[in-house]
Amino acid sequence: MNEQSQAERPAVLEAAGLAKAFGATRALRSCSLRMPAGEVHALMGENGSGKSTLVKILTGVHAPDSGTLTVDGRPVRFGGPAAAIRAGVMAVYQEVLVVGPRSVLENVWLGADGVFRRRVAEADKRSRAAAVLAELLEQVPDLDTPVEQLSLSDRQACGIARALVRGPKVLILDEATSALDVATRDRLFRAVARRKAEGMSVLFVSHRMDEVDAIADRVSVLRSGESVVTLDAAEATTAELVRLMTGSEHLAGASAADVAGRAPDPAAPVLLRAAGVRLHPGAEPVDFELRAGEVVGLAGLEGHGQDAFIKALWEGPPGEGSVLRTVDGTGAPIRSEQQAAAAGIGYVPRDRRAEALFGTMSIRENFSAATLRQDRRSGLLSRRAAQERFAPYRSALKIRMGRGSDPVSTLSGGNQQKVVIARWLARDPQVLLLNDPTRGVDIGAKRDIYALLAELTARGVAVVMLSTEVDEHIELMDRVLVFREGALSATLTRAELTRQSLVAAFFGRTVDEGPVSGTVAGPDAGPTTPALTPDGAA
Amino acid sequence: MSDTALTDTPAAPETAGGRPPLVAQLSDWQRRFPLLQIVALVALYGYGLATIDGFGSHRVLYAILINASLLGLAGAGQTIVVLVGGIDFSIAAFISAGDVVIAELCGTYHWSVPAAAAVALAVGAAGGLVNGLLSFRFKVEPLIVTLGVSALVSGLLLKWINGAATGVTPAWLGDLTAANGTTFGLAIPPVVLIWALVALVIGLVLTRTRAGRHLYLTGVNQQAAKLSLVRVGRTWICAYVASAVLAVCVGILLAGYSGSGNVTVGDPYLFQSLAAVIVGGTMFGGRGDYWRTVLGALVLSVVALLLSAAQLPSAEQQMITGGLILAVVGLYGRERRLRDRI
Repeated sequence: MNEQSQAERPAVLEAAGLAKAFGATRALRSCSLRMPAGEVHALMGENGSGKSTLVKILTGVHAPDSGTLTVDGRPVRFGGPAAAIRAGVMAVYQEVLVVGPRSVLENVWLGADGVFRRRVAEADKRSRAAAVLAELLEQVPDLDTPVEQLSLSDRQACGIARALVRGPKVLILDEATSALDVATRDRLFRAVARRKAEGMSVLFVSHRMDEVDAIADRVSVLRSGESVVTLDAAEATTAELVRLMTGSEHLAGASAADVAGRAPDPAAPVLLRAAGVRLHPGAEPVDFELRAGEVVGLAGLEGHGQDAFIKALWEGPPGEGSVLRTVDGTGAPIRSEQQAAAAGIGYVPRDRRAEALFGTMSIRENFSAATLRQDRRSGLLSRRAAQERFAPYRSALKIRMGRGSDPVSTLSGGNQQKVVIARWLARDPQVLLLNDPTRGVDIGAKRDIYALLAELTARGVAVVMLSTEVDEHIELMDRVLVFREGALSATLTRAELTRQSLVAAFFGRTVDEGPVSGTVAGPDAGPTTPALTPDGAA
Repeated sequence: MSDTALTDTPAAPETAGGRPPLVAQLSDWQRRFPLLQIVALVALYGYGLATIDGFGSHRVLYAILINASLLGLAGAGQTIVVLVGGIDFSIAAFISAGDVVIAELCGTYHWSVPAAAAVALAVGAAGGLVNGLLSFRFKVEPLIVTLGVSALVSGLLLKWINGAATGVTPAWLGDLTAANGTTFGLAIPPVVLIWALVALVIGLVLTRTRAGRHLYLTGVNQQAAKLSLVRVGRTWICAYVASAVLAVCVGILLAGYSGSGNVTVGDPYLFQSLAAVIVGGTMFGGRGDYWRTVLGALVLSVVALLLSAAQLPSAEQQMITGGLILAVVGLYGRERRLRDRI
């Protein structure tokens, strides 16, 4: 095994037998991890496998119940996140953690100064922040711009820069790439490669195989709170990793094929029509027809209008144009979510925590939120009615949960997403709008969602799905609408869909035009206007 | 790997992690059920029985219950508003408004009580509408809006009555809150039964109706509620209207209680109505229910009676009440949302 040679190099970070329980839930049973200096170490596992808990122990958020942690060979016990940062362990999370109204500079150096004195000189701050941001972004924003004026991707870049300026020994990227657009992500990977050569180690948590392929040296797999194995990245095929993560093979691949095997009927009735929808002042209007039984993908670089478009289908266009519900022949325009829902449209929002979940409320109450009328028994809401309605969705979507009265926050991300989807399925929609439904969702749950799409479309339901994963578009979609600078720039049919053609379209090109490959950084990569849509603005 | 002691106890939520199992389990129960409030109520009442002569008499019990009824009714609106994620500091002003409008219209202008009550309730509804609209549509901090409306209402009242209330209320209105009052022949003050009835209705509305569920959904996550087809604006505004209307009802009862109009009659409720909610353990934004406020009102009333029985000067009474509220807030302060708002 190649592990031998890796094992000989001194470990910068080593965890042995870490365990952590929250009440009766044993989030981490026995986790061991060894990271030599200058290694990119991918950490994979389904949601609920203990990845987040491990990251929180490594960053001093949680104290482990047992097990040891050593940094540079010295045993450490972090009293809090500040202690971990002092020891050189810095993390960037999936959620974009920036202080919106403060400047880029202040965000990059957030927490560096004491209450009364500066620890880093102003000029030094400026030059170092600018240097790191230049590594990550094509166009470095003015350091005095309030961060809230940047796109989601650029905001996350500020968060990553915050970690990088401090020159950490270990950088933890906990699904931190999911908010980045393709160009920024590729730049981050190059920056990581440079720092790796200088001895920085990276713990890379991601659900995306392509990213793991791109930068990881070794891959560790967690399953049910235990480390299963550490492989060399070269040995780790997708199928193998899925098998290791799920502990079984039956999930891999199967259901995506079901979707791909479908042939949508080109003469199926048009359920929804968008006419002249202008997503951004000055951008070309978008025309679109959605037919029963098809799956349409929305793609593009972050903030280029795809998010605004799916929202326009739900709550009406932001400015000019109209969205019409056409199947019942009335052609009534949709101007609010109430009208959309009445016309048989369902919408699963993008940001689960901010837009979909009622965190402190029960799983059952989360499920029934949009269909309370159906739970009325002689005028009063009946728990049993909700429970009975939920049961079929629970089994159809394979939701893993305890009791229906448990808070929804006790579920893993994937199962939470399934509850949100069930909320809308309960309304029996004819059109389902899914805004990046598999974001931060583990592979098992993704497969379940794909299988659901196949079943829905077979029944004639039309699905519009925004996805940030190129592979999802290629595997699932009948056609993909690519957005660029607030307008529809290309429509790729199933036959035209390849990684190359899709990524090329993100940058406003076609494959024939030149040397455009999977990792494109075109001359005009990245949004040129600051955030066309208020993506993720909270 | 060694098993941790935590695995031996039944499910406790993750926030309890790291604490000793017993404490974790108790705090889990407390989250679902107002255990502490019940223990405190029994202990305080027991303390009164043990140390004060005649504390067990009907007269004292009714005094506590009548006091708690008025406080509980004033806290009902506050509970609703707090659950939806707001706060209402205009309750005191609307209590005074109810009180003065009834006393003036009935006593000075000789209107019938129902007509006067209708006017008072309309004033409450309009004021609540202003509270709700301003805080929702223009996203102004509810604290500021309700204090502003409160000052406006108090000013209008003073102007109307030229600085001094002159009205007297009909005697039967006073019977509703009399300690020796009877209801259908039962020796229970009517106001206590009114409170019980209101508590039952509000409890049912909050937990078993769509309107109540919409209140919680909006309070927990307004954005998600909107995307789940809850009309959040309507829910928010209705909560404020309900709060102001309930406050006016308390004012009408107080007019009977004191027999005459008084523009400062609501003042003690400015903070007390919120204190009842907090002591009961309802959280800002969708956690809690009206039963907790009922307990909070009872606890505060027993405390008030103990303090006055001990013949403490009002300075010390205030200090003790303040300390109690701070202690409770400290206890629940770990819950982020509460700490953010107070």
